Amino acid sequence: MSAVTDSVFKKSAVVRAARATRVKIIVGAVLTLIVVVPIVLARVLPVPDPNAQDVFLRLAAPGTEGHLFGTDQLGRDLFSRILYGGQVSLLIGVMAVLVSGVLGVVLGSLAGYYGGKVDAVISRLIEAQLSLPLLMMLLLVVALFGSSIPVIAFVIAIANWPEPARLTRAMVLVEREKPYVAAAVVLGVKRFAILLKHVIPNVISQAVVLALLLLAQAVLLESALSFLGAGPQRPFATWGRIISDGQDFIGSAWWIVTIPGLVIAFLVIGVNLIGDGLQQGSVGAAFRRLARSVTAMPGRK
Amino acid sequence: MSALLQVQDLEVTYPGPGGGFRAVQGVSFEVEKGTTLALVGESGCGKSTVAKTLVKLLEPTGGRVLLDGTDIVGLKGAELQRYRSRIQMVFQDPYGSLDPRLTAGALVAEAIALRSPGLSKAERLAEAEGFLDRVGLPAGSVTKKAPEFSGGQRQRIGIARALAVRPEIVVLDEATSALDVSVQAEILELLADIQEETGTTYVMISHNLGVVRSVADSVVVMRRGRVEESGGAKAVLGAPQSEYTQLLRSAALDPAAMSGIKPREVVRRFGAVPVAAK
Amino acid sequence: MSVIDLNDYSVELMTAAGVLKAVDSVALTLEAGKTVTIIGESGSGKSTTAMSLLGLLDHGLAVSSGKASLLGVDAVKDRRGVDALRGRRVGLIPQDPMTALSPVHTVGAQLRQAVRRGRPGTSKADAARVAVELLGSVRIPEPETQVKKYPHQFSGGMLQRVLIAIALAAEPEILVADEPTSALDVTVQASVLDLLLELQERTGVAILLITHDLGVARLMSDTIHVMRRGRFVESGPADRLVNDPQEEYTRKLLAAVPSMTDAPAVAGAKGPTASGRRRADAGHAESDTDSAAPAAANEGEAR
Repeated sequence: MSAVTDSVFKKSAVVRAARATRVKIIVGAVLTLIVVVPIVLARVLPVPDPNAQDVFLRLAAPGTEGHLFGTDQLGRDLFSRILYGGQVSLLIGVMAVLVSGVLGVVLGSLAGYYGGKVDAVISRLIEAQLSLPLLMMLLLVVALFGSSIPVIAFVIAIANWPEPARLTRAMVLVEREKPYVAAAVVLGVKRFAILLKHVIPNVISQAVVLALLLLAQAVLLESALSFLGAGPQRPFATWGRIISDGQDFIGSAWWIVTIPGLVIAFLVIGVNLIGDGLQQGSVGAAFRRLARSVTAMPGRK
Repeated sequence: MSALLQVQDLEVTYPGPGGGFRAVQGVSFEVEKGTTLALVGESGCGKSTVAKTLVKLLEPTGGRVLLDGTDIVGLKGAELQRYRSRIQMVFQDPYGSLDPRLTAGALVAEAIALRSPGLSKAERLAEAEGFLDRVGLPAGSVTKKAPEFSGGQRQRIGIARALAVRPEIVVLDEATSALDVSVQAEILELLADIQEETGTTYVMISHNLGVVRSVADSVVVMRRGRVEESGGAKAVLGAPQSEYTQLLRSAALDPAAMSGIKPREVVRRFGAVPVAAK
Repeated sequence: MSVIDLNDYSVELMTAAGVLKAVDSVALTLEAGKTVTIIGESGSGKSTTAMSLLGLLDHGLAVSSGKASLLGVDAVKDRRGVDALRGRRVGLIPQDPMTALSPVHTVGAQLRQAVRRGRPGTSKADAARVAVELLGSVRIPEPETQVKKYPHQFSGGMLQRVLIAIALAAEPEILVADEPTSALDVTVQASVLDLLLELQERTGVAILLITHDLGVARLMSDTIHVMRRGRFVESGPADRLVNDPQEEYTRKLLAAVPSMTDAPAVAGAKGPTASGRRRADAGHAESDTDSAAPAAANEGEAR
């Protein structure tokens, strides 16, 4: 016989937390997928050529003659430009995250595990980079080395490595003190092997979640760069460029600036919500939780 | 015949202002092969520090530690590896001392791999299963991950891991302190069984005189980094010479020794209850 | 007159794994001036019983049911009433002294706060005076100086005394002590327990003690309740329960306590009379035979 009625259970802390997580992940996933799926499927979807100009339909409002988002000042279909531009932005974002993620985790682990001089050098590098005015530095690099996609991706990766490095370093510092590490030392496992086989696997899932959050940042950074004119050059139509080109027409054709901005916002918010939701456990468990939660409430046994 | 393990004038000083903190000073004792020596004392007495120097998690700043007559202080490289195969440790924290991502089988297999590098993965796991069975874990434990076991079972895994190296000496660093009383009894019984079967030498670190009394052959009582008293277990614990050991003994509240004492009758002798004299 | 009366008292916890009945229909009575102990191993529900009774478990986590009377207040239905009792007529001594106090306030400040909460209308000057008196009553030497110190400057045993002082600040009728000595060294434990007994004799406070240590329970209690998996397995007067346990589980617990006497209390463990093992009967030839001389020369050296 239980005093816990259904209504009481529904209000319990654990159920509310699970519900909040579920909501976050679902909403986040929806927002992200709304943006990402069309972008990935761009070539398959019946959209006009993003570079096809139409002199007679310049600055057309959304919905005019099959142009879902309207057209820009050269008559190019905005929806199509956003999709294809998104491909470039996402590509850069993913590349940047992979590079900065790997770089950050590796350097952070080494710094946290070995301490001493290794840590001193890496930590100073982190601090130095964090103290630099980032956007200025990136503009400088692009000015020096050109604005091809690899350069931009590399530059954004370099910009983002300190965060995963700091987080990984902190997590490794904590793991290092745990008795199972001492147990491995006593067994005779080599120090580097302990880092590789014991410490890193225990911190990696947290780092992966952070990488997801970095994706949003990378996309934002890329947009900022192309907005300032330092992004991939024409004919690539990245989001930042579209917004930048549309500045002059804010009054007459608001959709050129606003819609790409909304798309960026959806992606960033969506990814951040997913990351938040996942942070409550390991990535694997979270995916399992996601699958379960979409289908049922936490059960009463 | 000299003892298997000899500690001579051990000193461990942590760096710091004013000459540093002397955690261990002038500590000497010997352990005969196949016996159990207990290092007892309260928190901060230095017993854990001594344990760590024995398994080379710490280097002493002075003194010698001789295994079969060879000083192990300052060992490096291949010699250090060989030493590690002769002495292992069971840790206090059943939850933190096992890598949570590994299965029980993998944890023990890692130890086996270090001792016998030539074995294949399947052979290692088979041997691991044997060790897990030996420590009383149910069949099928090989594939379960550490978090699926209870505290007592985790300590059994820790013991299996230590044994898998086939060491001559096992240091038990408060190995039962974090366990419930009934589980503690089972683990102590297991350890005694293993010693009977394999002749392994134990160095047991504990603050619990009752536990020590029931399993130790010889006892070293430590206080503030120094040896307060040492000798055969029955002598030191049954008829302690030093006042501190007497105090430790009487402060160990043993319900079985309280018959005849009405609830709440306390002799105001440093607030300790006298153990019924036998 | 009983100050605590539990009957058919249950506590259910709502966890990620479902609803867990942590306390299952227990009955307990605490009379003024007496000591009742709940003893159990980890997971038995002993702490949950006390925490729930004192209203310290969040509504979103725990649901209690049954009859529970705390100084006449219905602890199941009247959460507000229980909140008003806490810190005033009921004092709590928490388990871990090292983490139970605020590290950024002096011990004196925290004591004064407890005094003013427990005795409403006390002036600042009076509170300060009472704080020093309280420290003295828990046998802390030089209380006037100690009152200005921070928690990190005290040892574990001293901190536990401070916690007892705080619990006593309001001159409570009940003290709930949750594993009050588990985090302490054995010699320190003895003196803290002795202090509690003396305070009880002096003030007549009733004590509800939670512990896993049978020795402590036997020493301190009038009545002992043995708890396992949420249920009271056996209850009775302390000396009877220890000398003549009725239940299997109680016997198992008692048998598992390693004994300081000759009879090996550890089931099956090799005692002094075990076969096949060399024991230290005739005084083993160890390095130091008698009390080590270095012990005496200790004073100037260590910390």
